[in-house]
Amino acid sequence: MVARAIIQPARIIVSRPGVPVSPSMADTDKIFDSDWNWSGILLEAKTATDPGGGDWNVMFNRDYGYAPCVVARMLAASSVATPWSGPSVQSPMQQVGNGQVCPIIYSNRIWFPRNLSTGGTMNYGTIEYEVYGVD
Amino acid sequence: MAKRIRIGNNPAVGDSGIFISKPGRDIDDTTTNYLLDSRFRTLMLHANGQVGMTSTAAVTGKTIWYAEVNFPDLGYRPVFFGNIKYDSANPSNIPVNSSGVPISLCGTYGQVGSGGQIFIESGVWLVNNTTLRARAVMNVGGSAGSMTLTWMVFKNRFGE
Repeated sequence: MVARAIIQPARIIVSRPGVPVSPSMADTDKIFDSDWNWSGILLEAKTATDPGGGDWNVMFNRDYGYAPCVVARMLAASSVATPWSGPSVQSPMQQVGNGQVCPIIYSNRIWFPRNLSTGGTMNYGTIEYEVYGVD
Repeated sequence: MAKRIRIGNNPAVGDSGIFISKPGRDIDDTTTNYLLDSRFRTLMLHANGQVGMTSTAAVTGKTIWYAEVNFPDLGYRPVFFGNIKYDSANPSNIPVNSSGVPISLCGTYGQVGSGGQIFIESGVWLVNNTTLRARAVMNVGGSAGSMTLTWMVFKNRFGE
């Protein structure tokens, strides 16, 4: 068995199974290093469906106190059925003609504006999104 | 030096656990993310890989690249990430629009190369708990370009 953790007042490092821990070891052999800025915290991963009406706010599980990183994809009908009839996965940041919409991330929600910049409205359909603990 | 580790009760968040703040940030500073926060799950890689995508002209006037990847069943819908990379006629190898903004995964409109070829759709999605699919559609037929799907599936459960 190899030593896999260093716990010091100023630094904590945990190595991968079977790899001896060392302050100078490569990042690829680490599970955790307190000198990193992000450790892969996944706050939530969910689906939401646009209810229509006014601007759409998708609320997070809690107010995180900072605007987290969000990856969102919109499942829309595809323009082609071949080779699959599956969805077209699109960004909720859309351009329709010359009109645009751009969702904004707050500490407690994603705000999807309803109105396109040049008039008309946007229907987001179903959104899959992941929220990561990094700002 | 900032206080960076708290094990047990953390008054700053009103909860107990193991917490480590980012380098240079105090553990009481909740205006940014923690580096380690045991209240939440950490991404755990289940399977990953790269695969070249097949192209077809099955629809007149379009070139469609597609790929399907299978991975071991976790018994639930996992969190995933997939990215489509355009390998041809683009110095950065990433589909970009006319402003240089990557469109991979996002699948909105963008121009690739100087020939006015436009990706009208691209995306990666989960068909079921064991199958990932990717597709990119260009608005011209017979494009000689090639596409690569890079994918990661995590042990984390989708829907939490």
